[in-house]
Amino acid sequence: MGEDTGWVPHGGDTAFLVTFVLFAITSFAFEPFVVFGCGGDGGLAACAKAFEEADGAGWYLWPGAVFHWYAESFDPVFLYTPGWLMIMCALDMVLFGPAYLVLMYGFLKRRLWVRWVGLAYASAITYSCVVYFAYVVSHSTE
Amino acid sequence: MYETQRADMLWVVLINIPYAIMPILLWIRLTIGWRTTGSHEKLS
Repeated sequence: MGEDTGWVPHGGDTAFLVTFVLFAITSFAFEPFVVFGCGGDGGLAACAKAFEEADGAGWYLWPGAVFHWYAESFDPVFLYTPGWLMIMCALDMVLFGPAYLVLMYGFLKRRLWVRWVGLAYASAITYSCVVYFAYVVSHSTE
Repeated sequence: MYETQRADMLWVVLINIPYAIMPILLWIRLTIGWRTTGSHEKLS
């Protein structure tokens, strides 16, 4: 057992840790392709094209290619990313990404201060989710 | 103007459900689900 920090473990803590890892990967590996693109004005499409044309040499572009497949298959808002969504993706990259690392550390080391980081994070991400879902739902057609 | 098909919209919502659910569960975990041994709690 580690040191007694006052933290009382909960069965779901491991699930939160797994989620923090997965979401951190999204923030750090995928969001930069939406924010910075891959040159030109092609957005994610340029990333997918560059990945195909590089033929192995551009392996690091795979998240951009996967994101483009997701956008093309389900979520076209990322094909023509509006400015507000690009800003939200940038915040996901620079704010939420590091927050996941802090949350991982706090949960692993059972630090009580993680409560306040977690509550701030949960509030902010809930707000951005509502905006994103509302936009997608309100722009859907038969 | 951006538009998406309703069927695709449902996929988008389903795929992104973890982003909607996890913060709510985290909120519950850190509020009504929050317990400490009291040994190091300074704020309560």
